[in-house]
Amino acid sequence: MSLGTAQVNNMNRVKAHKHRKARNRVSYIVLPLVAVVILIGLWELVGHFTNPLFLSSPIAVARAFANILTHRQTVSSLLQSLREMYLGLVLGVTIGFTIGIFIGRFESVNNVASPFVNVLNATPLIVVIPLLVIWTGIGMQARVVFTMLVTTFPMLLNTAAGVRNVHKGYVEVAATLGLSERATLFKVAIPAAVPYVLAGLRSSLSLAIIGMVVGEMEVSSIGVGWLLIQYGDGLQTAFLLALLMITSIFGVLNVTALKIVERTVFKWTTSTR
Amino acid sequence: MTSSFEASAGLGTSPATYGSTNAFEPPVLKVRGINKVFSGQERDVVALESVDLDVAKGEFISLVGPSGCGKTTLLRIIDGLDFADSGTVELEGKRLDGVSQDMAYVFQDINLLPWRSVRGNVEIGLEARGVAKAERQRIAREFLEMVGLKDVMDVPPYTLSGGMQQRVGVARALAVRPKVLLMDEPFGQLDNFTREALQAEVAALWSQLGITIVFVTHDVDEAIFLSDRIVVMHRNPGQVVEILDVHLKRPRTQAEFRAEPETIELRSKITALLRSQEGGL
Repeated sequence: MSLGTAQVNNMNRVKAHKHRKARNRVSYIVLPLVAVVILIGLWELVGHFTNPLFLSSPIAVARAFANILTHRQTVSSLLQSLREMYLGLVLGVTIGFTIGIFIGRFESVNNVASPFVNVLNATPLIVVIPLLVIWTGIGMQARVVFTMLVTTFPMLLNTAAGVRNVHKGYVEVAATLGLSERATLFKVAIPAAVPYVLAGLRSSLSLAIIGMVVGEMEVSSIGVGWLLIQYGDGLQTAFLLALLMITSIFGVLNVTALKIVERTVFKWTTSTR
Repeated sequence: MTSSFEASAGLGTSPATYGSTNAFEPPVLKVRGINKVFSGQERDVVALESVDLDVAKGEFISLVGPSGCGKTTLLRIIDGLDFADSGTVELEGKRLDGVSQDMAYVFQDINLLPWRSVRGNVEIGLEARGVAKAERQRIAREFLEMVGLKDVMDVPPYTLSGGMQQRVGVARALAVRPKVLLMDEPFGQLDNFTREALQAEVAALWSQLGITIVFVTHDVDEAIFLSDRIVVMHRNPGQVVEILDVHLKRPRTQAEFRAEPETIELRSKITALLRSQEGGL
């Protein structure tokens, strides 16, 4: 009976699937966890034989970590950093996305804009910080603008590439069904560019953290960057390492949030072809 | 070699054929003097050379030929996706310039938009025509039901099998109610069983909806099974070699049509015509 065989096949497949899932759990969760534990153990061990100035022990770092998260001044510094980072990121990503669409869609815009974009993109943006200070003062604006500049370019370049490289077949579907140029842009080209846009967003997210920290190290009396300078000057190694962990957590949270968006809102980008 | 002008004469020879119309009605689609050359680095390829073709209203006509004979190019020029170097395409007496809203195209590689649901893919042509949302949804449901996909309307298209995806492709094209449906090797990438099932479905849809279909294929049996007339094409220069009438009575079934004497005769005739070109590489 073909039905019978099909059912048996199906059951086998389900069993195999469960088995694979269990194995995945081991390789995705248990093994990395073991690695982390071993690493911390080694760190503690090495810490005992080293000058704590060079490498603080995990316990000292944990204490510094808790210290940073429980003091009002440091917590407000972290929050201020996040505020600046997300403000700069949202501005940069919005501007990059919008300009990217125009550059990708219109050859003439691309011809006019590409020299500027290429030069600016090749410039290490940190050199504009003194200018930003002259233009906007040493307040929050300079740091937000800096983060904005840093995050604009990956978004811009990726969006432009995405809109320019829309699969020809999609464009022909739009053409034969009579979609106007405007409708083709909004209903076909921009959605088709989403994988590129997400890649741009991923780069912008990690650059936003760098932009924030660098901006604060250069112009600030608050924030993660400023704390880094303080702890560095005070040779407070445990605090520096704790701060390093906090910025890593920021990064991980950003990337995780993006992954969740990819897997829910833009599910098709992860499951097609 | 038979001149392609006999295409129009050929119309009158099959008055009894189911689905085709009488010879006195003007053709719905009139193709005249199409030339198209693709310039290559080493040599130019004459994709189409003075191709003429008349398609009667309600007719099912197939273009067959070896790859590179320009059959897909001809279909794309008819739709306005490609431009001819010279020549004209007329739909119901009106000369076309660019894509016509009265024709729809079914692609070999389907190209469903992955960010839209199955239903959303069928609706997109209706959106371009300004159809209101409720009406769009109703039409999309109607055509998806027609191709047997009403249960998967809300799933993303990439979760469907190849055959189901092409059914969506057909529904998407039919939903805009085209006068002429252009199909470019639509079943070329499907397995045998799926292909035969879809051929039967397309034949049924064609007779049910009374539309005109121009079908490109390199599968001779597929052309015989579906068509009222078969246009055999030649490669470089891409030309019409001969136009053959198919008189097999409809509805045809996959099981029976292959053994019909007419099928056997047509098959050997077309195969011979195609084989005679092999030297001309």
